[in-house]
Amino acid sequence: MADKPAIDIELKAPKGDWRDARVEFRKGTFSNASPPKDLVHLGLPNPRKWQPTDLDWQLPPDWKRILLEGMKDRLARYRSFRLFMDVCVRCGACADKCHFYLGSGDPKNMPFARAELIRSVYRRYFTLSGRLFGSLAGARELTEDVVKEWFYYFYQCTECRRCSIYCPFGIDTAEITMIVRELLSLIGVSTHWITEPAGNCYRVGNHLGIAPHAFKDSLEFARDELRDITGLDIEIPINRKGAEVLFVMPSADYFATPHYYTLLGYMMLFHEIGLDFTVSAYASEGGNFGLFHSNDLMKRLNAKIYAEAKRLGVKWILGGECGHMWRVLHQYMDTMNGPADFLEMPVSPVTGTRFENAASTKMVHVCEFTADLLYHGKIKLDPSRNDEYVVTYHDSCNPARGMGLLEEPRYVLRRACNHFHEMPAKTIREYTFCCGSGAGLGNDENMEMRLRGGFPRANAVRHVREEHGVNLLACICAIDKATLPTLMDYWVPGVQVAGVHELLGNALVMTGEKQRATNLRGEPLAKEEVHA
Amino acid sequence: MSVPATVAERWLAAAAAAYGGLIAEHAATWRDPFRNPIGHTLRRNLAALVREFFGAMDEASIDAAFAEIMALRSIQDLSVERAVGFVFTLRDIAREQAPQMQGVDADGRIDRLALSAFRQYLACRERLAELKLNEQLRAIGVARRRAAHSRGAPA
Repeated sequence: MADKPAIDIELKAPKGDWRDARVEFRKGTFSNASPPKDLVHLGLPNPRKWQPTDLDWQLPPDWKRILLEGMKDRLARYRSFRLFMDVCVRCGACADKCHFYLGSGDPKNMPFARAELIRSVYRRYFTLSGRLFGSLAGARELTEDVVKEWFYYFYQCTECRRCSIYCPFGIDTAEITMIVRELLSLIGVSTHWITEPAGNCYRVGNHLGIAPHAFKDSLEFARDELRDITGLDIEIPINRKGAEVLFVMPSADYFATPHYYTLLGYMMLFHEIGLDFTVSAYASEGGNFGLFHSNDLMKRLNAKIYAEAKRLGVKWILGGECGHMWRVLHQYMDTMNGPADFLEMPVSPVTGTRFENAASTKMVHVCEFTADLLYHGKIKLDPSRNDEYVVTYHDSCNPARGMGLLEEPRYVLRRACNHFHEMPAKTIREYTFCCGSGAGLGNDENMEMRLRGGFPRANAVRHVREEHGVNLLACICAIDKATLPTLMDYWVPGVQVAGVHELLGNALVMTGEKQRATNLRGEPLAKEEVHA
Repeated sequence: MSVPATVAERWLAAAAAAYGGLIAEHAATWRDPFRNPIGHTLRRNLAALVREFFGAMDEASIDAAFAEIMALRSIQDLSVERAVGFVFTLRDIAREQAPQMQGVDADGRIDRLALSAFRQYLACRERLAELKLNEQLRAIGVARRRAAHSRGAPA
């Protein structure tokens, strides 16, 4: 036998024509449709009962006109959209960068191919060559099958923007996905897992629909638990006018686990440094599922943050650990609902650091704030309290690629933990792999698709588990904290998930605290790890 | 290339072919584990299975290798037949590449491999239900913690 590998693969294109729009909606691989009540709550068009598996999606009679006019309007309004429709040369640089392609093998999940699903329609109706030469110019008719195909594939993109890092033209495929989802929403095609939280947020103030009294109960319970853990009475002020800082967090922090342990960590930190802050029962959600639906909805949901900052009379805003929340706050809030000229440039009351990077939005990420405290030696940590954990860090897509928050979480982790190992270089920082569940895909009916999309991330975690015995994956995104535990249980059993501020809270040495017997999860510390 | 290595490469090509033309080439040939996690997972576990096929047929090692392969194939757009059926392609590959195995019950070994593959495929499908339940429980984790706290039970 020669040394040459004996691979004998039939090198042929996938069967059929890529322009064939028909897709099969297999259980486990798509998100359920929005029920009528969600659309009614939000005042959105075409409320009706339907599911993607239905033959008839009950689109409005003039659905085609609505979509084409919607495209025309957006092509005129967004230069980026027009550019992204025109400039792709199908070089393939993005092809193997999408986690859904790497995990599923579906060629239409290659970012350029996914974008081609709308580019082909753009060519047909908005370019001379497409109008004249049709399919010869890569153009396609807009049909109901195309609408279904858009729904299938643009709700497989998590808007993570990994592909955009590699694109030589800088095409941001996430923005293409956002536009297509917005177009689909014009004819009442959206998903329940996005519109229900958005509706809750609009009516009640947060995605989970937690009423103010339940919000207060949850925080009081946290206060009780913190008393048990630290022996200190750690007050969590709500709706307190005149506080210096408004603290906004994702609602999962006070309702779901493991998010909740991150909340405990924040509150311990704020108590220890004597931060003059308040949370708000109205702005009780930092996350914004409007981002996954349409610009208008995103703007409506976001408005309450500045409104509440103004009502409470705070000087600036501090934001908790979340992913897409920061995409909205960092990239869109200022132009959507600003200028926040009633707020001041954020300045740390402890270190005096001026957060000039937040001069416009007036909103600082809690990891920036904490890293600054550590840099100036203003808090004391005992990292040995985290010695049971061998930690790696998952860069959540939006803070990493959306706002460049790469160093600060690591700065905190390296001081709060003795055992920290990075995943391979091309899987972290701006090259980070998505969890596979962002942008509104994190529901249980879509579980198989999520596991495919999350496989590249899990594969990198498995690598550091095998190399270094990693047993904890730290992250700073609420959707990560909800869905990475599932991903780990499936692909890399034995790896838990935690927020950065949970680990900080474990390690934080607080003035007057009792001897710690447990970590923030209430799990006993090993005897040699019990610290005064 | 040794006979087991050749068999492993041929078997990898057969397993990857289930994905269709383009991905088959990608999965089978690109060796970077982070640019090609499907191919990496298939390659390393099929190599382990081939070692067992020519060796001791250790059940634990076989199950462990199929556990990783089936974790992948059970949640991809593959029918059960395509997800598991590639195991049987080993018959022809082994006959062609290792005729000297005629003294060994190669077909019996392949049957045992196939049974392990089916077992692991089913286990993965069952785990999906468990994952969904646990995720729902975590989504109301604070309420459950409060309930446990009020009962005086550990959370």
